[in-house]
Amino acid sequence: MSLNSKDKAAVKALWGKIAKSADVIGSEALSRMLVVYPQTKTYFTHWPDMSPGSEPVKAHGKKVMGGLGLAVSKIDDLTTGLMELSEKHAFTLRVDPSNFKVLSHCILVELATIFPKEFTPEEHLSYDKFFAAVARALSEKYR
Amino acid sequence: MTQYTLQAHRPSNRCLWEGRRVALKVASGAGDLQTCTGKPRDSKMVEWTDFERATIVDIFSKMQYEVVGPAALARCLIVYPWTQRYFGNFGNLYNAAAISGNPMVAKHGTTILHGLDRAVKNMDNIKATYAELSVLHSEKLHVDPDNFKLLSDCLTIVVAAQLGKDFTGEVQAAFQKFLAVVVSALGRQYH
Repeated sequence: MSLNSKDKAAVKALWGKIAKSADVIGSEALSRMLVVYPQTKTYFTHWPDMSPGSEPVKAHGKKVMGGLGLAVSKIDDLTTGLMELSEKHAFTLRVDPSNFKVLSHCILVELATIFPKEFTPEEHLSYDKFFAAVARALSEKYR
Repeated sequence: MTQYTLQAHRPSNRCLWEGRRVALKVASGAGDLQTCTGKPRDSKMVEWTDFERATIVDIFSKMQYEVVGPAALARCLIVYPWTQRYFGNFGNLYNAAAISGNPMVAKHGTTILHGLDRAVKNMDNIKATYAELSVLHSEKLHVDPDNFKLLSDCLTIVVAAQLGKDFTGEVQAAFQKFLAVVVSALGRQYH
């Protein structure tokens, strides 16, 4: 299920719009994840405040979207492009890879709420594949 | 001596992704299943908060089944093309446009939503309500239960697009819990 040229074009097309409100989208998607999937809170117990829209959540949402922006720019070779981030997730953060799916789902839901018209089934398909490809690249160094 | 299983963050033990729930068990001397308040409890009942109940009823009461159903099914067939295996006699499913415009897909999408309606009207007994449908999906339609989750996700996305900002994290959690219970009931009679 690798990304074909149609997927890459679709991802880049919508990313133009997403990038304009990336910080908000990241914060909202992360807040959503912490509410809908409370088990993900176990990774953030070092934050003084895990509530939706709080400062740590906003900052982290921005970081995540920054990583996704990097992935879009390296879409032709995600494994190489995300190598450093993969090492970080594998050796430092040690996020269970099942959580990549969970966060992906929350970002897709957020995109649907913000871009109801643009998030067509075709865009959904390409973004679902893109997030899966990013997750694969991020998991590369795990074992 | 009465034994307690410590569940420090009980709501957090609910894995919403798969709809399972870690049960709070108290083993009394008599061996009865009780809550920590000592009241007997039907171990099989799904418990809904007032918020969850109200949210589900509200979402479905405002929903146009003949719009949302077709949109969700079409999205599922497009985003997860292998699900098309169950619709060999639906005619043209060659591309997204064909799927979205296919009248049989539309009709079936509406049928599915009316099926969900039965769960909305019987929230305290979804498992029994869906016993027949579960047998149908297993014995006659031979649908891999993993597909129920895929359709659920697509339905969540369609509803999210409809409700926009109103589809908050709390609303999403309630909606996904409801769908998880439905999916679990649908898969119950497989063997």
